[in-house]
Amino acid sequence: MIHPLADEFLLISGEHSFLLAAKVNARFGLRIETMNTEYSQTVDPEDLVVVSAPEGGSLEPAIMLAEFVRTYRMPLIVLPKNHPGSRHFSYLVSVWPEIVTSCSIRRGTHPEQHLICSSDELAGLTLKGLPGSVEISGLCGTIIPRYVTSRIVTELS
Amino acid sequence: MCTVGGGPTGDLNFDDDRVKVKNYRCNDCEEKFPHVNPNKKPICPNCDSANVTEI
Repeated sequence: MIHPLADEFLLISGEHSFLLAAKVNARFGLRIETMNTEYSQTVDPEDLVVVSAPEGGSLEPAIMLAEFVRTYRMPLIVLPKNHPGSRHFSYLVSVWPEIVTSCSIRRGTHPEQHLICSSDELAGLTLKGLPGSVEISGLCGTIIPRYVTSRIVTELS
Repeated sequence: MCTVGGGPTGDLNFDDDRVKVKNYRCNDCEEKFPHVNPNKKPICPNCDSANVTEI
């Protein structure tokens, strides 16, 4: 099913987890930083940034993570395998034209970069970025995506 | 990409040896960078220029 999507977010909620999808809406080189080196990944306006919260949690951190990437173009910082701090991260981010959710992969980056870890209840979905919209397939009929808008208000005094 | 986010994000299983890259140099700002997606035209991550040359 195709869902129109501009600057807002699309929330796909399960019983205990959720996905938050947004269009990148810009073309730039996204930096990926590892312990050993750094990479650049071209992202296009129709590409998606998807945040997965396999254990659920607050929606706001997911929104912030998506905005870090698409609006503020902050590099993705990559922890090495078995890093002790990795267990404290409960939100996963994927940036790609077409993203597939899976509950059977380890949390981490695949070179193909089209997979994102999810809970089992949201596994098997495909989210494809299209001009002005996102196409979602594999979605259970009981799960209805909802639109989310958010804005940050900063006041100096 | 499957990354684990905290601020902005980290990753648990990013294996540098599995990542296939091509190296480029920006003709506008001279930034050198490895690009990870062979299906897309590389863009300089420093100045957003598409005027790049593979090295």
